Amino acid sequence: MIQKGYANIAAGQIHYRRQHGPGLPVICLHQTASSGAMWVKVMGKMAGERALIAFDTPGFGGSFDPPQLPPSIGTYAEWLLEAIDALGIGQFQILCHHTGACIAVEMTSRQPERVTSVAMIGPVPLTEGERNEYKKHYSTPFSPTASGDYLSTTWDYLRGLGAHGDLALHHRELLDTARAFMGRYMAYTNVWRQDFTTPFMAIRVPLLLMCAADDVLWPFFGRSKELRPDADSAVLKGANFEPDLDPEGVATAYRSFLRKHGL
Amino acid sequence: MNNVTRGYVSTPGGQVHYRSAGPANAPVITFFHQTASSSRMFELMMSELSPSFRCLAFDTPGFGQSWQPAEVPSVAWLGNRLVEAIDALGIDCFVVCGHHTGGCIGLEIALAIPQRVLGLSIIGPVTPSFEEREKFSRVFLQPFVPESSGEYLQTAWEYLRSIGAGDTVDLHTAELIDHLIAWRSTPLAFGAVWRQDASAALAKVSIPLQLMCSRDDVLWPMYARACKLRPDAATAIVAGGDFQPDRDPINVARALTEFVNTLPERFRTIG
Repeated sequence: MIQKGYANIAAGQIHYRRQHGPGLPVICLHQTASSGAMWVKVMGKMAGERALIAFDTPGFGGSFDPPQLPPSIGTYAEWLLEAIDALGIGQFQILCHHTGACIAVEMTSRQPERVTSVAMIGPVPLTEGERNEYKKHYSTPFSPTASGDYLSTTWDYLRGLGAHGDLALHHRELLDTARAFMGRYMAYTNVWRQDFTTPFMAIRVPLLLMCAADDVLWPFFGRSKELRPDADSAVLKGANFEPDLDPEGVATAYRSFLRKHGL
Repeated sequence: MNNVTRGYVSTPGGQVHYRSAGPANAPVITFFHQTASSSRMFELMMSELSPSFRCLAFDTPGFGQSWQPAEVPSVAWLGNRLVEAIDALGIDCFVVCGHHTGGCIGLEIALAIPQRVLGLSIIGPVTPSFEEREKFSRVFLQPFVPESSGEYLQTAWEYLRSIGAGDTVDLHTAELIDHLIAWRSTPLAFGAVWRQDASAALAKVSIPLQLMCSRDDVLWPMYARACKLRPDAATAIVAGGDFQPDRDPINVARALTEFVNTLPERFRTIG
């Protein structure tokens, strides 16, 4: 059973979903502009096997809104580490997706002794030129307008990312994106100015790389495997929404990764 | 940024989400929202009231971040679920402030546990005749249903504009999100409201009452009727269409404070 709650940190309240279970807790980090709700199906698949905690990143879901643009993606990592502290968790593993992976490498880089493994869906080892190109497409907020036409813009944008594979998902993502129109702008601004590759290369714990062939980050999946030939890997289904559209694939790959490394 | 914090409380049906503000030992005012909003609608008021009161605003089951019931048998049933949340927080006596559907819920709570409810303030009292209940059950039941074209989003947006949420884009957006969350529960709650004989409940309730409304509230015609039914009630006219706590928070908070200050000493001194 999933319980929801808030972790109180100095900057505000961080909302989470938690499923109790054995083993070191798995911290789940979502993509922009979703929320911890994107991990609910995977939690269901892993019920009884693992303790999982899915946070809403500040600016998203039920978490506090940063009062101004955070200086870097590392700030998000620091907020989430503080939330993990507030829940009394020592060591943990990370399961993350897209922007969640950007935050995960910063968490690992700051406190490597606490992170026992990292599993990422859609790693982001982009060059600076590629990041500048992506910035053009993913940094403009879908700001609410009096006419309401931003809603169809957002709906169509989510269709382009593959959310239309499931109407309930499309609806939920619309809701999360509308709620986080400013959080999305803040997170993407920091994603495109982050050097992901350096902390990614510095990870010294078991690493699992996953992606779907129709994920926008698929072109970088091959590169991430070349950069880290020591990592395990798995190909999933589900466009940019693998945990919702292929929860069985995610759970199977993750379970076998944990088992292989005795985690 | 305000001083309102959020939390969950566990009840037999599931987790009830709430917002709170004010000192832990201050007299308690509970807040119940309209369909299909959430406790968010009371945040501005709570900030106003929090120096003097412990304000607790709940997301009714089916709305906001609270658990989602499969059925809503009656408004009294919703009231019982919310009393479970109040009990779980260890609250004994309290004042109720309910807005629209929240007022209907407040009436049921006041009837169920009058010894614990020290006063009831209703913003936009619902006192429909039998014919009006029939009519409203067609107009206010299920304003939209998700479908793959996404056209329901504009329908929801325009519905909210029609009930006065278009005052600011921020309010319009916040209400849109709450309405989208609650698309399944909205017809369940509205159905229960139109089945309730709220006029009879209002006539019967035996605790101090306050009736509040704005002239541009869709329920304004019912306000005069409510005042006639309960000439003993304190009254207040505020601004803000159907969204008085968001659009006229200072005056709503002031009117509520005046009402609370007329209540027995017992309320003002509990801690």
